[in-house]
Amino acid sequence: MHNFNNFKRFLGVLAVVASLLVIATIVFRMQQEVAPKLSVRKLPLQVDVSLHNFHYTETKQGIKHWELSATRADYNKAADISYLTGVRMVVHGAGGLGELVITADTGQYHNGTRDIALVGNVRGKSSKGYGFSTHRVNYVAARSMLQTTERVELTDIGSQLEGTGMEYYTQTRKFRLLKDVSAVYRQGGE
Amino acid sequence: MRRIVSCLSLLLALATTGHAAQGTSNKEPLKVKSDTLNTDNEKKTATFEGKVVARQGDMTLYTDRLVVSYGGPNNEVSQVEAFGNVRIVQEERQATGAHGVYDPKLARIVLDGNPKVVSGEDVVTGKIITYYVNEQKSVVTSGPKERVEAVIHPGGKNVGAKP
Repeated sequence: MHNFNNFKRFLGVLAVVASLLVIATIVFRMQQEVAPKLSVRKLPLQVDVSLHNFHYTETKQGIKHWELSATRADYNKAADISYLTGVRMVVHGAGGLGELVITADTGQYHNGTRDIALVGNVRGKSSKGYGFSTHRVNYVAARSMLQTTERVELTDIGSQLEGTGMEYYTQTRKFRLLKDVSAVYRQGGE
Repeated sequence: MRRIVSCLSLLLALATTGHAAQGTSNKEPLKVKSDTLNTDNEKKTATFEGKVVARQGDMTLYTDRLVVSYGGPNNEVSQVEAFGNVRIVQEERQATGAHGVYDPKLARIVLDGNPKVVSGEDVVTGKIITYYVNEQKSVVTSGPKERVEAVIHPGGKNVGAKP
């Protein structure tokens, strides 16, 4: 009889322990499901490195030549090109010519040649008050020249110029419109 | 009738038919069209080349190459210089030459290089012709080799011309 009671007590304890183990397992699994998963954004194909708030400065003999910044830069190692979004380029003019700030929706920075293609809502604004706008412009680093075959609008104090195709030399601020030129010079402070 | 006049300066009134010219206000915008344009923002010059057409008010200038100089706080045009096949048309008056300089503030064009002003059937030639855009008159200057020559038709189309 005494052994029988001990056996019953043992079974009761075993049932309680088993129940606790089941409850603990359920709680543990629930916690595992609730725990946040680490979200690692998959990079697009052909992108090896992706950077946010990209900034690059080109210097020559210790003097800032131009600066390039972007909200995002995706680097493709095979092509050696950085694909930029939200681009801002600052060209420092020689001999007190002031800054030329160019903005664009997107860009491509060719690491080898240091050439830059700016595409979409390209707008240039000089510290001297003149500016230009076009759809696409290429910066040819070897010649310090902005180049486009698109229609370009240029504004200055008292004048508006338009043409198709442009060569704009950033170090001298001289430019050339290549085709279909139209200009208006306002007189008498109009 | 043909008269040849040799003098240092001849003031010739060239009137338009029917009504007086409205003239070109130097406050009106100068509009230029061309094939190409080279601009130097530091020198404040713009060089237009290829089939250049420049308009201000009722005056139109045609040339091969046009150099616009501008300056001052509002970048106002201070001088316009035309090179090659210069032709200026204002209503029925037409002036031609190889080279011309237009001063917008004075509304005056100085033409040289076989300059000629034609108004109706009247023709004036000389060494230098100063064409006053708003005053319907030209001052013709002779040179050592280029005497002033005028062909005027009294009683013709230009009856009632300004004295």
